Amino acid sequence: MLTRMLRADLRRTRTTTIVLAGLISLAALLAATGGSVLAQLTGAIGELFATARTPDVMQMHAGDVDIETVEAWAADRPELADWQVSETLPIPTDQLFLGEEPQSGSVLQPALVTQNASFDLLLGLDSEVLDVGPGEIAMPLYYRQTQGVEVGDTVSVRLSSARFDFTVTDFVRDSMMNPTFATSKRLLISEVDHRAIAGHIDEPEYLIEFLMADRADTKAVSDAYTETGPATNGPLLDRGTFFLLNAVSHGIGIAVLSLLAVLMLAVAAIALRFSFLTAIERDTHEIGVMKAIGIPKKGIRRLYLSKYVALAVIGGLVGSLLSIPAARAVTSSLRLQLGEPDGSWWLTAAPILGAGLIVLAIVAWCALMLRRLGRISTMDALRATAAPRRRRAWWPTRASKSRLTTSRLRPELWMGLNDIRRSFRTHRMLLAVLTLCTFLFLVPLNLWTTVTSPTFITYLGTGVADLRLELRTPEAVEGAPELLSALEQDADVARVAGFVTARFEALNTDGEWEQMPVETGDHQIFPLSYVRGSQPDASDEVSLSSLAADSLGADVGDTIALRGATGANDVTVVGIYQDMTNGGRTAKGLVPVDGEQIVWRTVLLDAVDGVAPAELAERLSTTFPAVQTIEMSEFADQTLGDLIRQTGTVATVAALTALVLAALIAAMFAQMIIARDRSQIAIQRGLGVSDRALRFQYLTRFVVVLVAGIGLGTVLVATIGRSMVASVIGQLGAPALRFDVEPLLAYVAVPLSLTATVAIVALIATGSFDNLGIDQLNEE
Amino acid sequence: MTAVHLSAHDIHKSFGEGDAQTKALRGVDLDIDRGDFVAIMGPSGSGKSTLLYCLSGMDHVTEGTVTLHDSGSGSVEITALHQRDLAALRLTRMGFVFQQVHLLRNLTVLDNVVLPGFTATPDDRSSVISRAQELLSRVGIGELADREITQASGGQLQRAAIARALINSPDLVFGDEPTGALNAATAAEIMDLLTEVNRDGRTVVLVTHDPNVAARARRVVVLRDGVVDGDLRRNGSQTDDEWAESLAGWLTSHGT
Repeated sequence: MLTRMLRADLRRTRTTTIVLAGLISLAALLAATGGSVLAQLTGAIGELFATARTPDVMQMHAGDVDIETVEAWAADRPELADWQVSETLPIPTDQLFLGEEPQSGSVLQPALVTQNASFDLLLGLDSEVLDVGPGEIAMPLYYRQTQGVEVGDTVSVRLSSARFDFTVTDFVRDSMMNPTFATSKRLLISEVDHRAIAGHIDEPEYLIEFLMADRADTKAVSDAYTETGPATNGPLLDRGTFFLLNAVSHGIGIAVLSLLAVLMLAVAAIALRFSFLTAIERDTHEIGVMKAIGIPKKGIRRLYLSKYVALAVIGGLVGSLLSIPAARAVTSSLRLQLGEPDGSWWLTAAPILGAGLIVLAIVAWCALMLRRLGRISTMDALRATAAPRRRRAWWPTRASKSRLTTSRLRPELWMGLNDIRRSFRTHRMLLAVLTLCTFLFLVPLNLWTTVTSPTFITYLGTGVADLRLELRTPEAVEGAPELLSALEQDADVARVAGFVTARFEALNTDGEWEQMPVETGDHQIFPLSYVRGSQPDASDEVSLSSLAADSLGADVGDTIALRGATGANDVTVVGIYQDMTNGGRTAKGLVPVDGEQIVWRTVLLDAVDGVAPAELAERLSTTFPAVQTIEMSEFADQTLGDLIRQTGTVATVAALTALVLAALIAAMFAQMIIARDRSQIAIQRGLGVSDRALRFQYLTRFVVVLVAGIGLGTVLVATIGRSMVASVIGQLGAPALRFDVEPLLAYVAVPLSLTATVAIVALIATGSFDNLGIDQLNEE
Repeated sequence: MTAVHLSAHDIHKSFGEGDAQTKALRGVDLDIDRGDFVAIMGPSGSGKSTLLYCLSGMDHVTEGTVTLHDSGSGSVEITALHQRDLAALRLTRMGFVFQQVHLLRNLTVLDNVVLPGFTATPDDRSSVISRAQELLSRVGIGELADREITQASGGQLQRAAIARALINSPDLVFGDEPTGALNAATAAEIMDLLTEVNRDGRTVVLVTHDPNVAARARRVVVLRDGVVDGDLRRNGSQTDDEWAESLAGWLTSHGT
């Protein structure tokens, strides 16, 4: 009887079963992929650290180092296995050229190094220890991934006193400085070239590195070196930090995967609960019969549990299998940066563990639900044909007095609404999932319309103008005054403002000087939008980007120390703005600028009415070839093109996921609700209620829940969604991000597409009530 | 001469296909007169419920025709009707009472009664409501109108079901073991009601296995293995007791 019931159940609930299996598979796939990425990440970092022989403690030091004092310090410490001092030659970014492109806009701090002898080895893409000859350079992988540098390209170092050209022969996998977050980058050159360039660099920097005999003592050595070490002008980092830096840049992916897995698990749990309750309600009479003939509760429970365990296990297996190709796709960048992981058992175990957790959670959830079986008494179950348990109506106020008799609504409309009201618990699942779908659909979409909107420039630390001219090469910077006077006299130009960005340093909360490019000029012509305060009007005033303000621990009204070539000055912070460019840490001021400090110049201008900005841009490009002229509308794309494209992809994927999820759950819901209500449908058909009216009744239920879900979802997007996105985008420099909603898209297209999806599914599901006659009901 | 209200001609009904096929009806011919009270009897599996559902258009026949004769607008061949027209026909011209009361669980007693009324005549709700209240009073549960169906007894619910069957003033009422789930006293009360319904001029056709219920009818048809095995009409001069006695004997001779 048990297996017969199970088979009958599977036959009756085919759609539900498939959807449940699909949801569990998806959750398992995400969890297994997350597990796999985690294992590959830790495995690859472990392997990379082992091959590169990563130092356990590393002190960065600017200034001279007396090697002998370091040797003497190390000699006293038996816990050290090895030590070394590596000289690096920092190159200002405006003096490093990829081809003919200066790196002046970059926030990185590139330095030339040679290969170390025994540890802290710089590895190639095959994890081999790199060796470069004279005139050759091995570039950090970062440049290949973000700037498209390839083997054979030319990289030149153009110091004021000399110029050195290199051919790229390889890429460096740097166990300490690989991640994007690490702004220091090591460029590997030969001993010969290193010696030649060293003569032109006034302030080389040193990496003082230690390898431990026993890693347990790392902290003690770090502390001891900070207190008594001979050269300590710079940060001290340890192996744990390097691990973290490497892990964090890929860990976000794991976090997103885990979050999605939990989301899918929640949807699967809601769906399972509904499916289970439907099955129990339908089978109550059979359960009574089984109890009456003495089948133990355990046996009955096993019958139901076996179905769900089978579903969970199948879902887990499918998810695990699919995670193999999925994890490979997801980890391609990881494997490029960190290399292949070691082949430990953990690599195989982690995805299985991830999927296993999902299976366990599902089984535990089902076991929990099955306790309900124990509460059904035999006689109650046998009497199940009598009226069902009464539940309190959803809203217990006067509305519960609503009667068909007193309503003015069409009977089928009233019936649909009444069913929602009377059995709200049944509709909760659909409501929750549709709310979730709306949220999933709208948040990335709103983010996408925000980053592609013209006003997005507000988040890029610049005023809104028609054109932006960038003067990046030394020749262009020198020709700036002529350019400006030419533009001022140009009949097509309505307004123009020139800016100079110069290299400064500011004292941060850690008491260290950090780079802080300051843009000087008339900030009133094209005013920025400020989160707080306003633009600087005097030479002792600056405004800061919000990330710079965070890093310096400064707010409007505070005084900060700003250091340039001519020395340090105290300036007052008068405004905070949002800036997602250049790592987000910038400042605006009216500080006097020394020629040597200039990083680049920019010019903003508006065309006069009647002149198309595009045409003006084209003419200016031809007239001033050394100047890069772009329309403001393209500026965001050029600066944050990657982010914008990624947002577009995420928005598309999220939209498709939301629609598919809505369709799946609607299909499952329709099937279950019709199975559950089959007696009610059969009675009405028997009485002569037309199929059309019945379909209207069920569509009413779908549409009302859908509208509520879309409304709820939209409210959630405007509240939780916006602050969620702002907290993420805040990390990039725009903490006060406001969604720039495209009303037609967000409030018309999204609800319509969700409604159409659900309505089509509902129509198909309610397309035929043919097998629901009262005659069949009586035969059951 | 009395007019025929409903006629079945050579109807067959099979379930399943191939080897698993069972023939529930194997050629039934039956004419039911307008205003008659017919009880269909027979052992379990004889096809009596199937016949009722085929006669009322709730189930499709495999073969044969069922025709509803209308005094005014001519005849309708039920077996040739489209699903939608069948629904409309059932709604306006037939009433149903089942063994399980089959009331809608989310509605009050009164709402259950008015639903088919509203569906049939959406534009005249107030008269539907007053008719429903009148019907509920007539079947003796006027005070229960606003109750949830969970707050009424089986007998009360069956009365509500009869009121629902009559809401659109059908001239043909079907009953499928309407007293099957009730105790003897309540069953007798329900049969009193149905007898009254018949006295109002409506044709009543019901399936039963209870000779006491059948004794309320004026004609008893016995079905066996999907064919009509016997057909007995009450003689106009018979008293209730004489009819009950002759029926009992006749049923015994037919093994029912």
